[in-house]
Amino acid sequence: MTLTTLEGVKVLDFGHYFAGPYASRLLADLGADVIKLEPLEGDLLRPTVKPFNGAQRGKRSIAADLKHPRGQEIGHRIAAWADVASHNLRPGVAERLTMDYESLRAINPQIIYAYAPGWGSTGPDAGLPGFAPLFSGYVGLHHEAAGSANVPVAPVGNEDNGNGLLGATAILMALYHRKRTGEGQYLEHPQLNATLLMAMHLMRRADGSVAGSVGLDHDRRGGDPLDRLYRTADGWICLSARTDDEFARLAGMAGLECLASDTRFADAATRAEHRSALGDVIAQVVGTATTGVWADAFEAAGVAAEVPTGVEGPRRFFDDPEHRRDGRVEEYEHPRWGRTRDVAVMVRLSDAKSRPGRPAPEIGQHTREILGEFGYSADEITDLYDSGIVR
Amino acid sequence: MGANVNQGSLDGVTVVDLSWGRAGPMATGLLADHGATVVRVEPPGGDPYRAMVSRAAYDRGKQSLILDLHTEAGRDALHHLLAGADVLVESWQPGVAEDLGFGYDALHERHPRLVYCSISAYGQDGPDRDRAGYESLVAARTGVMAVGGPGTAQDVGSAGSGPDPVYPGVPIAGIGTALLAVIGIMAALVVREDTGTGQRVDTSMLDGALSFLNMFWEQLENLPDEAYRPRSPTRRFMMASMRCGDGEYLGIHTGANGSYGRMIEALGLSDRISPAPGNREKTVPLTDEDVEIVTTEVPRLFASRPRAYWLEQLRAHDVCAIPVLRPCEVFDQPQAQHNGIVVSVDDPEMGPLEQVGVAARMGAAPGAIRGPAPTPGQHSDEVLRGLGCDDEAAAR
Repeated sequence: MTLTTLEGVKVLDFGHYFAGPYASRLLADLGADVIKLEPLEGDLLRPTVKPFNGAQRGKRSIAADLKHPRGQEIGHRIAAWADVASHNLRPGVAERLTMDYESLRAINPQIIYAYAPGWGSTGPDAGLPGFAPLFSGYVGLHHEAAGSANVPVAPVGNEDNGNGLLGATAILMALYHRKRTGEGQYLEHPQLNATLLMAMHLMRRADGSVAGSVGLDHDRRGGDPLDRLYRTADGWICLSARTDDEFARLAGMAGLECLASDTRFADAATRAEHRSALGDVIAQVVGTATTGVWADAFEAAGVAAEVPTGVEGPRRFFDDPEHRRDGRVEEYEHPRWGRTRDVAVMVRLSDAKSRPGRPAPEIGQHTREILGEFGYSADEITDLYDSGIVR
Repeated sequence: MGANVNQGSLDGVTVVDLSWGRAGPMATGLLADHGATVVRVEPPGGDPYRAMVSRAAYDRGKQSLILDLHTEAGRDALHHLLAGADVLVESWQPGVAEDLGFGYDALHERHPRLVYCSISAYGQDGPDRDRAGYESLVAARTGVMAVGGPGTAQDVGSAGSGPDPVYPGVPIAGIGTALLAVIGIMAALVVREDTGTGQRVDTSMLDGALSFLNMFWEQLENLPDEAYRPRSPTRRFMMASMRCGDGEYLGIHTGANGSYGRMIEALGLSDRISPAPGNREKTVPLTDEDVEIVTTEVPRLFASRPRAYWLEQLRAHDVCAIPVLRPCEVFDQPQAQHNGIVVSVDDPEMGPLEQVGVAARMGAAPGAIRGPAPTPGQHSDEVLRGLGCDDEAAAR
């Protein structure tokens, strides 16, 4: 499913991999017309099927050689049409391809040019390569995800997604700015900045200490005994009871009355002081019964808890008719992958209509159609194919 | 046309924030960074989740107004506030806003230009609508705690690839939800410029989790199994954190063409590993002997010298190498400072705090951090007087 909110918004994306393209995919979800301009050999992420599809659904693809002047002319014609041009090529590459901001602004003075470099377009590290999930490690999130005294590890949740999300917010802010002032602009959402945004909850006090850490324990079951995973007799359960009211309900449950009578757990301050003891007490009790028993008991007591899903998580999600109805899941026939179900619209707007979405395009799937739209005659199109300029 | 926009993209936009937790406040915090005037409406006594220290970052630059929405004076003051507002954000359980008289339908009729953003746990309707939407619980229910099973992410080396569930080290559901909310709000504001009317924006913590999980969550009938088998040890590819001689870790990624060979060269192993042409190295498997050297000697080599040494060597060979730093150490790195993304905010409760600044660099109107997070009710008098309300009655 695609919404019609941004119908009429035109986007040219000549980026690759995930982070940059995910921004324009999010705009396509809301109805923007997104043209993916990729090299003749295709986006380098294509062999990695699921991430590629996640970053490219809803777009049309034209494959053209931007190293050739005739390929560049195609790029320029699309840029003249576009409200937004976006990419995440390494600094200097767009200049060589004559697809940099100055070149495109000369063609289209109101264009919004969104650039997602790794480190920044300028600065001491601008020329360095940068791949996910290494930026997460750079901003401290591998230590955050590791658990106390463990080897740092990448968290679930990739900064590529974070940067696509950030890019979409920035592009929409620029569109709003242009609606109000008539002015286009150049904007940047470096991967470094996006990853820092994902670590925004981590701050540094004047004494150098870090505030806001999740503080995961060694076993990575959580940091707060009142918001963590507990092992049951046959599996796991996650409970959350951080407020006074929630704690009172937890301490009112059969088997957990000891929490109510223990002065160490009398209020939030003493519970924080004795957090490790509190976790031990709960763990001991929860370990005596099965996940099913606890899930029912917590529900009956009004204590918020969930049974963690493993590999069945995605299956349950895709099978749920509710998710089809609200457009989170879309199903279609893909020429190569057959019956495909993927994650579609994740934010809904009430005035929008919905229409079927498009699967991620094959290399150059829409080349002929797009060239036609941009004024190339049938003969010219044939010649572009024959000359190896397009695919 | 002609709006006075010079500080941030959202100059002149007023946001009323009735949300709490992470997602809503982070969303309105981003709007504040880009120039919006954000009024956080808190219940008497303040946000029940004030103990969450990250509030110091999410709520910076906002105003705080205490209103008791269970009184008529409180609800009346909120209506006055909404009359001059462009955006409302709420994260109550579905149905609560309606019970208070602030549901979308009622407000849309009374304030037709208002963009109304709802953030729920799993959506406004459906069987899960009443389940609690805490980060950990959404992570448990959707599969964030165990993403690494066969057929799912297999995100090599990431937390969650073992047999037991793990608590999320990064609150991706809340972060994703915040950004989706901003996307929806901005799209609605763009549309409003043409239509003159606001609309409802609806997202949830489930959607926020999906905005990250969708990198791997897709069901393809014909996808060959090998597409998601763990990486073959004979492939010329490395994505790992290597422990160096000083006990510090260095992240390495050889995804770029030829970079595996360049790494081997930087390690001084070129004469011992079978050669492969740079642009096609991933199609030439390592020999058994190569694998033996790579698995035993490469870790030993990294462990023999400090991280700074290997960082310099690998970067000299144009290999992607990035230090694995501890939280906030990045604030001291020259590129982070160059990007202007490290800011110092004097928080009234926590004192001076270095934090992440404005992430998106907008060329036309850059935005700015306009002050610390407010104490609860810090701006009550000021805001209520501006609205012509009796502040005592409203807050009581």
